[in-house]
This record gives sequence, C-alpha cells and structure tokens, in this order.
Amino acid sequence: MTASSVRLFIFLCCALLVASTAWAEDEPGCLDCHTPDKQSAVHQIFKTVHGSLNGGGANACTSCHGPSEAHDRRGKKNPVDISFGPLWTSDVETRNGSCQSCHDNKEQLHWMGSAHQQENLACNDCHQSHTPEDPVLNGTAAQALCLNCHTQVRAELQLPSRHPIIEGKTDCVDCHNPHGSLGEAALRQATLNDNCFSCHQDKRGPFLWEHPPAAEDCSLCHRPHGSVNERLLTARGPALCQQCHVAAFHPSVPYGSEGLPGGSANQNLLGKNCMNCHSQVHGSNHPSGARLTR
Amino acid sequence: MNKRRRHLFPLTAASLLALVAAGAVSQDASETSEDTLSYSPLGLQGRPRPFNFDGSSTDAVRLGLGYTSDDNYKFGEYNGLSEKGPTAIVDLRWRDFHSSDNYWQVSLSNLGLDTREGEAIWGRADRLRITLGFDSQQQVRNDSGQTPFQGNVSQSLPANWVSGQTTGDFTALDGALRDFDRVLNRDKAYIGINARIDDNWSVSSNLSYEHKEGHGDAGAGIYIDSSSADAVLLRTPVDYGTTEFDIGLAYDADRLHLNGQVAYSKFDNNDQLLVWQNPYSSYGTDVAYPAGTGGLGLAPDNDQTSGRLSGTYLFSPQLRLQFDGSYAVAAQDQNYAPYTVNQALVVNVPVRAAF
Repeated sequence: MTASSVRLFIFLCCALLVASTAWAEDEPGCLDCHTPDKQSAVHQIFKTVHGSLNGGGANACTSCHGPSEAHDRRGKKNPVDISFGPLWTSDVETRNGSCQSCHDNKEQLHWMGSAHQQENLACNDCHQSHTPEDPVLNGTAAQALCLNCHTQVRAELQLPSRHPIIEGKTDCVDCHNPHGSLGEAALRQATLNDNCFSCHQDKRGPFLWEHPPAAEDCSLCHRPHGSVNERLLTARGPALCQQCHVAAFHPSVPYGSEGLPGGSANQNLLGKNCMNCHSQVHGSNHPSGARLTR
Repeated sequence: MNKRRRHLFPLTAASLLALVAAGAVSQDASETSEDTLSYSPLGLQGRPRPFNFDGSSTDAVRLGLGYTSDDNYKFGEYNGLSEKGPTAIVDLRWRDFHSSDNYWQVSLSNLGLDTREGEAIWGRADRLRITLGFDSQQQVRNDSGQTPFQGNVSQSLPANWVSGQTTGDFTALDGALRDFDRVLNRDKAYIGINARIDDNWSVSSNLSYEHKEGHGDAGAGIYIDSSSADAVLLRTPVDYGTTEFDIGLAYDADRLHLNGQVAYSKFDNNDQLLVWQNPYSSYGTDVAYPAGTGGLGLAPDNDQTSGRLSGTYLFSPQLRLQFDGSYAVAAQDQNYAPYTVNQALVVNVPVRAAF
C-alpha cells in the first residue's frame, strides 16, 4: 500500500467521523434503531402530546429518557439514562422526576408525602405515555386501575346502594386526587363535607335548624362507596338514628316484632321509619322544623 | 496532484481538531445532562420546549344498537337502560394534532341515552387549554311508585277520598292510586380555561351550570301535640339549578409551589314549600281531612364563597413544608315559610330559638 493510499484512507475515516458527529448533533439517533414496528409501541407516542416535545422526533425521546448518549452509541449494551421499563428500569425517583419536570402544577402539588408516593408508586405504574390516549385519563379505565389495589372499594361498589361509579358517571378522581392532598383520604376538597356538597348542594344549608352530625361529617351516616342499606346509610333505620337518639320520647331500645304488621302498631319500623316524620335529617329551614319534621 | 495532496493534510488536521472539540463539547453536555437528571421533584429543570405536533390524527366513531328485554329499574339505575326497548348508541373520539402546536380533542359518549356526555378541548401545547363539555346523568330509584296525591308542589287528594284514623280506613285508596317513577335527571354544562402565563405562573378558571329535575320522596306528619302525628309518604319535587365558578392562580418554581383559588357556588331551588292535604281525620276538623293541610320546607336557596391557598416549599429531598388553608362562607337568606299553611290555625308566636 502506497503512502498516498494510506493518507487517503485516513482522510476518508476522519471525514466519515466528522460527518457522523455533525449528523448526530442534529438529532439523537433513537429512531435509527427504534423503527416503526407493529410489535412495538414506541412510535405510538408520536400520536400524543408527548411525541411533540422539543420539536418532536427523537428529541421527544430524550425529553423524557434523557440524552442517553451511551445508549445512542451501543444501544444493546448501554441503558438509556432514564428507563421506564421493562428493561433497565430506573429507580422510582428518577422516573417520577422526569415526569415532574413538566407536571408540576396543582394536581401534583402534594405528591411528596402522599399515600401513593409513600407506597413507592411511579407515575408509569398508572400512566401510559406511549399510547394515543392514556387509559388512566378515561374514567372507566382509571377506576379499573384504582380497584386493582383498592379491592375493598371494588366490593363496596357492587352493593345495592351506591354512587354511579362502576357506570363511569362518577369517577374515583372526582372525589380523590391520586397525586395526594393534605386532607383525609386524598380528597380534593378541604373537608369531607365540602367534597359531598360539591354535588349535593341542596344539603349544604345553612339551615335554620341544623342536624349537627349532618353539618359535621356526612360519613357519620353515609358510606360513600356503597352500602347494603338504602341511601348509602351506614346502618338501617331506625337503628342508625338510635345510635345517638337513645333517650328521647321514643323508646331507646331496639324496636322488635311488635312493630310489624300483625303485632302492635309501631310506625318506627315501617316505611321510612324515623323519617316518616323526621324527614328533614339534613336540616330544616321551616319555622316549625325544630325537630326536623318540616 | 501535489497541490491537492497539500490540502489533504490541513483538512485532516482540521478534522482531528474538530473531533477533539466535539469530544470536549460532548463531555460538557454529558456533565450538564447529569446535572439535569438529578432528582428534582416538582422542579422546572429540563422542561422541554417547544412543541411541534406531527400532524397526525386519531378518529373513531362507534355505532351500537341494543335491546333491553324487560323494564328493570335496578338494572338501569344509573346507565339509562331501565326501560324495555331498543337503544341506539353513538360514541365519537376525534383527536387532531396540527402541524403547528395546537390540537383538538372531541369525545362524545352514549349519545342516544339519558346518560350521555361529551367534551371538546382545544389547546396550544403547554400554554392554553379550553374545555367545553356536558354531562347528563339519570338515577332511577323506583319505577313502580304509586300515590293517591295529585299535583306537584301542592298535593291534594281525589274528591271521592274516604278519610279515616288509620290507613285501614282508606277504602278509596286502591282506586285513587296513580303511578309515578322516582327518577332524577342531572344535566350539566361546563367550560374551563387553563393558561400558562410564563414558566412560573399559570391561571385556571371553570364555570358550570347544572340542572337537576325529577322526584324524590319524603315522609311528613301532621301533629296534634309534640309527640303524636299522622304521617304520609309524599312524592317530592326536585327542580334545582346550581351555578359554580372558580378561578385559580398557581406559582411554580424549583422550591416553592403555590396554588390559590377562589370559588363561588350558588344553589337555586325553584320550589320552596311542599303542601299536602291531610288524608287522616284523627284530630279536630281544622287539621283533619278535607280542610287540614301541612307544609314541608324544601331545600333553601343558598350560596357559598370560598378561598383556598395550598402550597409546598422544598427545603431538601428530606425536608419540606406543605400547607393547605381554606376559608368559606355559606349563606342563605330565603324568606321563611309560614309557620303553618293551615288557614284555620292562627299562630302568634315568633320563630322558636330552640326547643
């Protein structure tokens, strides 16, 4: 081999390296290997808002996965900087930090310290970014996801008295913020009653005659996810009322068979029991409603 | 050729220099990327920009035909399928990402049912989102209710009513019963706006109106003293309207995150008082059938104004301050119903302060 040939070979190698370096600076090489493939969901992201990050294309990949230069050089040997799995899965904090670079608004304000954060949940345990529509943003699919863990609630939703949750007309996230809140049970509103009043404004009052437990805490009488008793009550009437009202005009002992047809008449067991007369249990605004009868 | 050869070596040298420089730049970039990868919960580092949608769209229309073989209120309690018969259902999904940075999303579900809902979203990526939507709900509590009372907010008994001291005396009851369904319908329309002012500030606002209509049920009694009453179960009218508005301002920086919101909610009940005719004749003629009437107060109009401030300050990954404060004022100033609607009774006492 002549000296001129050697020089020409060196020149061509250097030119190739320079050209490849210059080309690589334009855009990461993610899509050179991750080509559109029916078996792979990678390219589905370009049908979502995430697929257009940083101008779209491979720049969108590095927006979430990090520059990943080592992976760019030897993809099968080196992991990406931030991997959401199933290979080379990064730790939870790194994965969540990637999402929270953008998703830092009021929905995620109290993620730190929330129950789900304490349970080491990662954003991608619930969310899928490589699908045209994140299933968890659809109410019915989101409930299925919630109920995978919250199995007691899953059972309660099947009880005869319930909110329209399994029909998808009320979503878990209507009342709860899965990203956390400082209130009880990650409720969206500051108090449990405020949460209920956001739909049941007719119970909000204030009333001329208040029923203290109703003004204090709806869950004293109601189970929001479901109940075997009518109207989501924690116990059937009149037993529910008698848990507090044990020494009024009416007998403070459990009513028995004497109240059933054929026995002596006891109106407190039939119809709407105590609420046959005291129907305004959430409060009354009637001048003669002191005993919640008007 | 010599001339060309002379040029080769300077070019090669320049290429090597370029490679070294690229390597140095690459090293700097690597260090920078490591910095940005450090854990920064709720941090702004690395916020990617700008957006540039690729112009793709995802559309789907789903048409369905169904048939419900029997009337069953429990089966259709919340899904709009409580009545026997055929049903046509239409679902629509339309997502359009233009080549610029704005997008449309439209979804319609269960068109053809009383439980339909829909939402349209237009947005400019990471800067503005406007949402318009509606949501209809139906609750069928019972489809076999019966009552002898006629009317809505003023309920009377048929002319041939036979009164008595107990329900066993109501011999005209069977012929007087009329069917009614305990059905509640909610129809809600809403609009929401979210806008990012700059990297740190964003504002959001929502306005909604919901109308709830149908019937419930309630017990009501007519008393002759403080413990003895003749009670009835009444069909109660529901004709509610609720308007809600809120506006919020959020501040997000690396360590400090604040969210302030002011909300207003106004509830209007188009019915204030339910009057019914006493079917019993246990007591004196003034309160017995047919002259006796009772009045049951319905949910009063009310409004609530609230303010809320919540936030987080991150001192370090191990130490943070979180706070959430709320202050609300609920008020109602509805005129009192008459102490009694029975014209034969004269009441000269003021509203009781306690009992």
